[in-house]
Amino acid sequence: MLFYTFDFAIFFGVVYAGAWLLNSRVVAWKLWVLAASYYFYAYWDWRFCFLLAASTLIAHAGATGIRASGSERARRAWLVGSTVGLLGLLGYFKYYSFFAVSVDNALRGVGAGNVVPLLTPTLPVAISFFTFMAVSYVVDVYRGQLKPATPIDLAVYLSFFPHLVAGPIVRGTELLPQLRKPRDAHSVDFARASTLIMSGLFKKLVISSYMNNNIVTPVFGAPGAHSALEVLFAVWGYAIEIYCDFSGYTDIAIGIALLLGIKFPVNFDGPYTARNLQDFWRRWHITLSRWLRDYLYIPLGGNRGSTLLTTRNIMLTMVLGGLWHGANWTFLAWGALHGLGQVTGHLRRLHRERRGLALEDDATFAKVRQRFFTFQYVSLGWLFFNASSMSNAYAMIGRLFSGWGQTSPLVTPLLVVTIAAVIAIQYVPRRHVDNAVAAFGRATVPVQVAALGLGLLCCTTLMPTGIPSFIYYKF
Amino acid sequence: MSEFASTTRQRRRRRSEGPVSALRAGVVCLCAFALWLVMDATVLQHNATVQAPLGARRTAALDILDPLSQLSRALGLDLPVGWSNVALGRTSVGGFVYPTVPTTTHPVGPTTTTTIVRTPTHAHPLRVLLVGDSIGEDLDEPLLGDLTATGVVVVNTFGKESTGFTRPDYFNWLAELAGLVYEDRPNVIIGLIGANDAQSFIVPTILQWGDKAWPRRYLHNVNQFFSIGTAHGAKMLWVSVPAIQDTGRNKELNLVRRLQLEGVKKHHLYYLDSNLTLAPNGHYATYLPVGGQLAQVRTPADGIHLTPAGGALLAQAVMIAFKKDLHLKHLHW
Repeated sequence: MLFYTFDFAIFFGVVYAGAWLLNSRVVAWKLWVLAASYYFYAYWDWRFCFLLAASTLIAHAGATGIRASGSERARRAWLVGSTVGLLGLLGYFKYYSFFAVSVDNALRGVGAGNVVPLLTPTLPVAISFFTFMAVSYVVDVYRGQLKPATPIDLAVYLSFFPHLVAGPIVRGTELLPQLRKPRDAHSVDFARASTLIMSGLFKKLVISSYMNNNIVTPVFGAPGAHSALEVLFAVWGYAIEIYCDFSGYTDIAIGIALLLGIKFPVNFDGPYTARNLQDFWRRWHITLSRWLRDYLYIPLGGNRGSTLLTTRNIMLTMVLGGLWHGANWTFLAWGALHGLGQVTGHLRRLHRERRGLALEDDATFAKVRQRFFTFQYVSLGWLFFNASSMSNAYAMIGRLFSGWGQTSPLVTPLLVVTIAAVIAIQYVPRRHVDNAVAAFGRATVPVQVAALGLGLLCCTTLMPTGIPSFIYYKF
Repeated sequence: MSEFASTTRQRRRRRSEGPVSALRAGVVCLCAFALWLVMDATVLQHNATVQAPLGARRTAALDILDPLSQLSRALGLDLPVGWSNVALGRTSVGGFVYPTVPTTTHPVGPTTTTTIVRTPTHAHPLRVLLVGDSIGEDLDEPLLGDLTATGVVVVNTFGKESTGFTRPDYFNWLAELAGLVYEDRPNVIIGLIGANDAQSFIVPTILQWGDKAWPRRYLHNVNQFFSIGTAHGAKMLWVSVPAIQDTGRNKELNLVRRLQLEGVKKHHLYYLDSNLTLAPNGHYATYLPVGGQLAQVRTPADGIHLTPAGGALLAQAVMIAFKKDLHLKHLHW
């Protein structure tokens, strides 16, 4: 059930009414939201619900086991056991095919094929997201940052439908306390929620779909048939498409949760204004970045060891972050590219520190240059991320060097303006956005109705036919 | 009195500035949704008519949208959408007319058509048109690369997902092909369409899937499509619908494959049975050897579409057929 469909609108209307009617009865509210979330998930495939339930049970067993254990060894055993169980499910559904084919091909080379069974598990929607949330829950309990939740609280936390499919990856410390007490029915942050939902819909339905249909799919599909300029704009266009698609989804998810009285963490903060890759990862998919930092990078040693160890930790974190998206060489290349960029930035900062220079050059021109090159580097990463294979990525890059001097009918003024506008909007200071939201909040009911109704009309009129699904649904 | 009114206004303003009650939020959302529904009802009604498959869901949608659409028109609320669509160059604003086969819509141009496929050169490349539904698009991507790599082929592609020959009310392939042929003047057309076709016809009259008259109407549409494709002398290479994982639906598609083959024979087209490549053992296969290595050729998520490796494998078979059937022995890629 996609957020921008009629089915979801009807579903949400019913859930909203039920949730606020049951608001004062905490257990009934949780059961209602849990049932709604499982229904939402079952809409893709009812069998997936068993997987979600299995992840919940493993996380619950792990957390209660950790809590009940007297010795550190037993606590650690529960932690490792439950984490392996959770990641095992993810690994089987997400990586088994890649693993089996790779092993089979390797064994065929020595004349021993057909050893590994070639099963074809269907990749369940959202598995990467709820697995990471479940792992973070168990680890937080182990670290003593969180008390084990009741089974129903944990089930709601993991399955809560606004974040279920594509995040944000909400921590137990952020969401579980909000589930334990009734929400204030007279304090719904409606202005922020509705503006987030509208902006999310516009970003997804209009801008992201426009980029996908008009430049990204045609050019990535056949780079050899397009000019270098078209390839360049296709890469930039994909940077815009994935931003509008993913941040659009997140905006809608945060808005929907707000309407139900639940607050989610921010997931995007003007990522294309970043001055370096470290800055980019503080602004892009923030909840994944901090997950990787807190549950992978820091446990690996972070930057506490030698330069070599720090380099290893950064590369491992980014490559695994790439592979989290799927078992594909293109994701690995994307992660490695970001790892290399971050390592370079880290070494550069160390070098400047040793020479007693400021960590960043803050002159205006330097800032513009840093932002420009960061965007280009990030776009290069997106090229690999969106390529269907490494050969497709190489074909795109090759075309950038060989395809000049040809006509570029796909590079239209509207396309150029749209790309520029999406980047420019990220520079709008937050206080202006907040002022606009506050102004909407002060408007009378008829004005709000008219603004939202016309906003929806604007989205549905400007959107093309054939809206692609959210990119992050497949992860 | 005025002081009292001023205080009330201030209180009211204070209330509406910050968070609001869930009831008010719900009412505003509901009203905004209703406003949008009425203003967009004409387009929604059109979409429900041409896109939704037959069934209770479609009937319910139309029962709701018909009166809303009438109301929207009566009040002139559909005008903004109409103006926008005209400004955006879209023509289908509200309602729809069953499109007739536009074989005569485009004037027949000068006789630039060929009766045999000539030997292509860099100066005079062969013009190839690739058409397909979503599976066809999976094939078109690698095929376009292979054809372009020959250096003597200019390729134009047109793909549209969720389409076929049974729902011209949703997407009319006959009209589309006529336009493409007129504009592009291809020497060769390569097509793969049909995986969505095992369903009822809605226009010009409803004809249920399974009805004994269904095959005749389907064959009629297929024959028209092939006639349009070959009308200006282009050669057509037709690729059959690949086997799909759902055995029940795959059996249904056997009828589609059989009828398409009848059309192919009637029009003397070239035919490539995709299942010789993608289902070599007679069954749907997820993994197949590609270039000496085992690869996943079908998407496990739906058991229908081709992965990039699957598309490349089928494209290779098409290239071999293309070279052999059209006597283009010198082509290299």
